Amino acid sequence: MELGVLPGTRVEVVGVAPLGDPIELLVRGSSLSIRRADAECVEVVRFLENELRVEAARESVEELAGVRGVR
Amino acid sequence: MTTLEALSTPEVPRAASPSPTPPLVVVVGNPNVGKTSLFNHLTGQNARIGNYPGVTVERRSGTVQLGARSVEVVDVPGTYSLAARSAEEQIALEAILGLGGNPRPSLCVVVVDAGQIARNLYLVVQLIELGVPLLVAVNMIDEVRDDPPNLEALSRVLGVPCVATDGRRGVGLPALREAIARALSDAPRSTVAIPYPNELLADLEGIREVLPAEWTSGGAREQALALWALSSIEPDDELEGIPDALRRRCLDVRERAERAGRDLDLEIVGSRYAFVDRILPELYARVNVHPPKRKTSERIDRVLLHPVLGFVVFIAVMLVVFQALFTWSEPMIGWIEAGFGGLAAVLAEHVPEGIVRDFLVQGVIGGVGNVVVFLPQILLLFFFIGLLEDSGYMARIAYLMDRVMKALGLHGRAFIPMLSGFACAVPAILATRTMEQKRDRLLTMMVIPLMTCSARLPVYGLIIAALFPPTTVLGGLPLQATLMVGMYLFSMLTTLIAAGVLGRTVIRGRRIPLLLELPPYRMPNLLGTLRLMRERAFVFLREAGTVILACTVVLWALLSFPKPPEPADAGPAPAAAVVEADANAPAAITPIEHSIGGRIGKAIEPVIEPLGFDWKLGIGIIGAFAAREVFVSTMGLVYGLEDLDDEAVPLRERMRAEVTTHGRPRYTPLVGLSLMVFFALSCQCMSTLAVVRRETRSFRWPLFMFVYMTGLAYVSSLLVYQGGRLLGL
Repeated sequence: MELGVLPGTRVEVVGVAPLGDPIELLVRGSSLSIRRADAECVEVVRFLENELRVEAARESVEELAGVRGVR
Repeated sequence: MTTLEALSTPEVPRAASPSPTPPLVVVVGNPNVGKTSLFNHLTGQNARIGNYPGVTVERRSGTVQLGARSVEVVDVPGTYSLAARSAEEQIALEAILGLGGNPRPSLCVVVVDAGQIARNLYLVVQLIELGVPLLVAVNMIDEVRDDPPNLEALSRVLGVPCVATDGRRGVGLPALREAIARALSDAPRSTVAIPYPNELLADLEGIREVLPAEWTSGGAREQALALWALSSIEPDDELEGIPDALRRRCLDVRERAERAGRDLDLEIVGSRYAFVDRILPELYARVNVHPPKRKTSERIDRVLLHPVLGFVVFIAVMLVVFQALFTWSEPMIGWIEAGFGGLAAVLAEHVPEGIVRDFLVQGVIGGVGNVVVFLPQILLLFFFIGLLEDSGYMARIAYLMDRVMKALGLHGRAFIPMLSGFACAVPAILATRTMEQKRDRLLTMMVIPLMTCSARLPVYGLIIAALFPPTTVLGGLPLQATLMVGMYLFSMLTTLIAAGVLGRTVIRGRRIPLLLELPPYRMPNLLGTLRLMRERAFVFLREAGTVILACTVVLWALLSFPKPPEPADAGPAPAAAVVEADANAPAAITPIEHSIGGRIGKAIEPVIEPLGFDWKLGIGIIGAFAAREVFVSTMGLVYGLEDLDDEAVPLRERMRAEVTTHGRPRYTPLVGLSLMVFFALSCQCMSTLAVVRRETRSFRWPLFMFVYMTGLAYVSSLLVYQGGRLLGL
């Protein structure tokens, strides 16, 4: 959270590591790689808390779920 | 701190400085912002490595001459936020405010990455809130040439001076020095206030009442410290020096907020980012685009992080590193050994025979040699670590390998130290420093010595050559080579299991989410790398080297005293169970057998007998505590063989010829296997223990390592030998 992943923050999935984990995100112009487990249990929950941004959250849940290198 | 002051005082011209100690400047910043190279440029060649009080975090400091004035500069470990969960993370706040035994700084220089202003400003906001005199160095300004942030605007909205720098080339350094000098007299403090929700402000009032006295007298804003406490204190944090009243109040506030459906972290972090988001448009002529550097990096990453190509490159890079540690270091190690051998020979000529000569030659020169011999591998490893870190590839290694390391319960960054462990545990343990979390470092350190290091190879070589026939097994595989490969696989398997078990039991710790930043690729900085090598080598020599030297002397004494009586008086070997196989061999006992170490070897025979070992192997194992390969020469001494060459043919023959009272071979292949398993698992290396002590700054962890590894070795060898006996081997 302190790295700027907040409800409503635009998060781009830049890539997925060749072995499937971790995933690389682009947050506020900075690179940030986190493990899938953390992505699901920390950030996404935070997204869901703010109902107005649920759509953004769903989008990333799908992206995190398996698609490789979605831009 | 007093030693640092004492060191720097002579350099301070008394007349120019009104106070006896120079003013202190702390340099803080996010990781990967080039803070260290900026620090290196500022302090030149006089950086010193010490330790922060109470924690295993290194404190680098140096003296800077600003005109007539001398200033002490301290490099604070890189961090994204001041909020802390452990004592290690807490030192950032303590170093900045001068709490917890740290001296109080006169100025804080915060280094930010010009290409990642948004994330970096979060830390700047926290510093502004603390009300410390602040100077912002916008670093790596060369990377945003196309779209530079407006520093005048930044300085205006933050209310503190901002300077553009390029720490790699040293651009902007004169301006930075000038700005530091000016800021030291002006003490610029920002008056910016971050707008927080009213409920949060009310909570903070309640926390302010219970702040410890030391915190409130620091001149820092109490509200900021209340915020720090509220965002740092958790039911299971590992912070130190937090008064109970404060802890209770913070947890209480948190609980009430949760019941009210509020998210405190979101309120705090969100308000700070809202401020950052508001000022960002003022810094840029157009809306912030991708920094151009990142686009180049993305192109490189398409190759280096490619599922196939990426691993090809990765394996190639790792091969070079491993080859360097394993093979390229050989000649250098040879020169060092030859040099010390020559020195010993010269000394032997000039000093009369006797205890003094033995002490100087075997104890002192041998001991210093034991220390220096590690330098080639340490220097080479840190040469590569420096280049890999600087270029940005180290983060990619962690990214590529994290999945594998995660299976071991380790951090992706543990890969390089683990790989290095195949060459030698000593540099490998030093390399665990590249990991930020103490738990990751500790767990990696504890399992590294299980990897098959190069010192085990001569031992395996001797045992395999002496006790196993050169036949083929399993349909054509050469037995001896298969055993060697098998020992490698065995060590990998045990490392995996040990990491899994230790990570879930002894070294559990808080589960901290992995956070990796893939910085843009940059040209490595050779000077910085050389400096890193020098620093690491120096720290090793000073802190681990002394312990290794002392241990060598003690072991030498153990295996040399008391001297045996004159040969004429020598009686028959006391261990009646052992009959010399070679009828021509003198019945006299060897000097090593008569020594304390030899007697210990005999005394422990009942203990090691169930493993299939006799007292001779017992002495070998004791001698091997200096370093595993010493097993070979110690066994030579046990048999009265001097000057063994690498082949050690006579020793092999003697070991093969050893028989029991029943006339059967004493050292069967089963004994050999048991012995190899013992050497694979036991902690037969005082240098490893010395480095672990240095890196953990405790005796507890090296002791734990010794006990768990030796215990594991004993039980495994016992299972192998007794199991083999049951199978009729």
